[in-house]
Amino acid sequence: MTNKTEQKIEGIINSTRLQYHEKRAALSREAEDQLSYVRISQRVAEAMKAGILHDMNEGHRPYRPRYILPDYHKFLLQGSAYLNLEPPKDFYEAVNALMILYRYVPSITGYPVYVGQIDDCLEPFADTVTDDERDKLLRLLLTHIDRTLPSAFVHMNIGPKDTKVGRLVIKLERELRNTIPNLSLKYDPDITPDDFAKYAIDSVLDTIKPYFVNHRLMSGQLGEDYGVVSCYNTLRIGGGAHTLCRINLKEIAKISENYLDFKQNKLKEAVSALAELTNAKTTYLVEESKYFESSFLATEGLIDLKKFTTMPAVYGLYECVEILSGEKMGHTDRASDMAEEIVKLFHQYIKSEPAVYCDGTGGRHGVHAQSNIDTDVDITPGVRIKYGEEPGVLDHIRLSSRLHKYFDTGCSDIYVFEETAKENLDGMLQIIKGAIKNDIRILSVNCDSTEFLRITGYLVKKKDMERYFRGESLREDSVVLGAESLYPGHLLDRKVKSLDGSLDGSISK
Amino acid sequence: MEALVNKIILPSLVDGPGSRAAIFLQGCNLNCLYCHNPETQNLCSHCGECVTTCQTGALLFNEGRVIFDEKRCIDCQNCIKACKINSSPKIRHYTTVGLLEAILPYQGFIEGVTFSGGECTQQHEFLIAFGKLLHQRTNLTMLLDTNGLVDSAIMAELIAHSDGLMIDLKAFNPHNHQRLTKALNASIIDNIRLVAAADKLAELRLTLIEGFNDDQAELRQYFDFAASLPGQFRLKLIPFSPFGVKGEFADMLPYPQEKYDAAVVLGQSILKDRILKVCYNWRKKYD
Repeated sequence: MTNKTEQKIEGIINSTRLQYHEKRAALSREAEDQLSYVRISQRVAEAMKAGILHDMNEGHRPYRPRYILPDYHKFLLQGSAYLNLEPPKDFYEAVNALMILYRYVPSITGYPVYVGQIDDCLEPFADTVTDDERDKLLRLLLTHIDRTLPSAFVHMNIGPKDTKVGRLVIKLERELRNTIPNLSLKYDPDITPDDFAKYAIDSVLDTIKPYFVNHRLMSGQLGEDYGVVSCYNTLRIGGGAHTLCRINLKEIAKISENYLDFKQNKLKEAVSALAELTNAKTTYLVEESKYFESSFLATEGLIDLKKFTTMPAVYGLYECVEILSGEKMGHTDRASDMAEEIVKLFHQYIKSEPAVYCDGTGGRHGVHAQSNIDTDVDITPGVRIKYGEEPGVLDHIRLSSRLHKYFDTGCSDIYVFEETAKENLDGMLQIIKGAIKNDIRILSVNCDSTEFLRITGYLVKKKDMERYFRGESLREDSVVLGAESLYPGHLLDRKVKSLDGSLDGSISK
Repeated sequence: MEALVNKIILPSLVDGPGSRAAIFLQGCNLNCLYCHNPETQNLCSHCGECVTTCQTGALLFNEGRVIFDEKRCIDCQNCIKACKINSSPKIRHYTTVGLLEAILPYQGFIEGVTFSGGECTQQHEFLIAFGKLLHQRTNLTMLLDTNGLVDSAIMAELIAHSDGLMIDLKAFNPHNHQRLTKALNASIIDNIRLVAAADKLAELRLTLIEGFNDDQAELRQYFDFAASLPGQFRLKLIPFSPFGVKGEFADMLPYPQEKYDAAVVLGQSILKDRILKVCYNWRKKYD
């Protein structure tokens, strides 16, 4: 072991900012990275070094998929031999069973990124208890998730049907005011009653939760059995994503001689390297570390390799278009047309690359718009418009609608409204229906007056970030990520869409 | 035929039910002391005074006219603040077809169009022509947000070609109405009756101004009048805020919350749930 490694390990062990479980995670990562990187070609290594290709710091040797969506519904029907659990018979046992299983679901963060389609899971047991008991039990479950899985990438799903459990989750989350779990409502205007949608919008304007997910678009592409996990990644239930690597469109634009060179050569080469890296990691995970042969989730049928895929991604489209056209997407037709052409081309290139273990998306790579990590500086997440440069909200939605459809494993935008939107839920519903009709995949409506902030995809409380900056030890690792990404990413400059569509405010610092 | 448009807000969630396109027409026939968008009152005289305040080159003075380049405008409001005649250099002209085409791309996001101002009924010929076109070509509704001061024959036509009117009756007592707006309110009250009788009264609105229109007896008269009208419209009560106000009311304090709450209670005792409250720190512009 080199001196440097020793120092690093000692630094972790002796840290006063890390809790025991965080130290353990950091140490295991150090151990993993003592091994050489999974086998990749020279050109992939060079693309990574040049900042064109990025592996999301996933570690040298993947030994669990990045994202896993266990089929919790199936688990509740069949119980588990490994966990010595009979199928639950009532709400109490169902909640207890879920709490137990969460403990065993890994991901890149160490915490489950998906805690289930909770209405499907618990609604069958809803009438085995009284209203008060149901309220109490669900409250305990949500509190358990917040305290034992302190990562804002932990994501719960409800909808599109109106259910007792779905409504209760929204109500309780408003009362509990926790950032965790992240929450998505699958929304279909033909299935979700307006009354339930407005109940959710009222919550959104108060706590930013839930996301609105375009159920018709999603189920058309992935089938009915999809889930929304981590930030806003869309994957199949019983499946997941082996890995997520991404290419930096801004850097690719910088090394291109012109737009033609970008389209015909540089983008294509980068996508090819992206596919190779993705395949190398996936192959290692499946064939060398043999996750799917060793995990009881797989042997008991709660996950199935055939439902997994990969998520090669792009980020920095905004800067890419700015470099190649000199114009701003969302503001001129030329720039917006170029944005769509680039995204379409990326989709076409990555879908024609060789793909391994991608049956979850028909044997081809999944396509993703990645929403940045804490170390990104001067680059805009995914295919979003740079913070502060957003056009009026409807023009923003209309541009997003041209881009979202290409990303079957996730793409989202955030629209910020003033507090006065709370007075007009019908109007908000109308705008959301318009967005869904325009093929927006996932929509986050934020209200400038709440104590919450959505950082790229996950939530943090503004006051928790202040606590972090004061040096306090915090439960949620996502607060750290949020705080660190806040300043480089200029999130606080994000324009508030005032109700008059003009841009006359920003989130107060 | 062209309309003079101060601005288009799309979407607006505060100009009638649901999400709407709010179109603010230029020019007004009242002169309210508490006007919340004074820049919509008068037509531009092309004096050129605002041009020097523009930092981005969005305003140019050319052959005696102020030319506005929308693309360069950053909406800093400097020109509006500099204007001495309560106007704006940013007024645009729209034909009925031109205005419809500006709205059509957003059709799926809105329930309808609301004309506000200024005083929209000043451009009644345009409104009637636009109403016909809108109803012919779309399922969108057209609401008019007005002070109600318009000839009754014209009002009858506007009633026929719109889906509803939101009327801002600024005081019930004629003397107080005159103090606030320089005009009496008898014809306005007659028009409100006309609109309500046609079942087109979408909203009645009162901005509470301390010492001008909030006397208990006057408020009671106002609420009784509203209760006597046919239809299920709601009465929106708005506490005065100095936001956007120019002139002698610019330094007036926001309407006290206790008084606002008391007015709401009084209103509810007469109109029940037909009183529409606004969240108290409401800062939207109202004329």
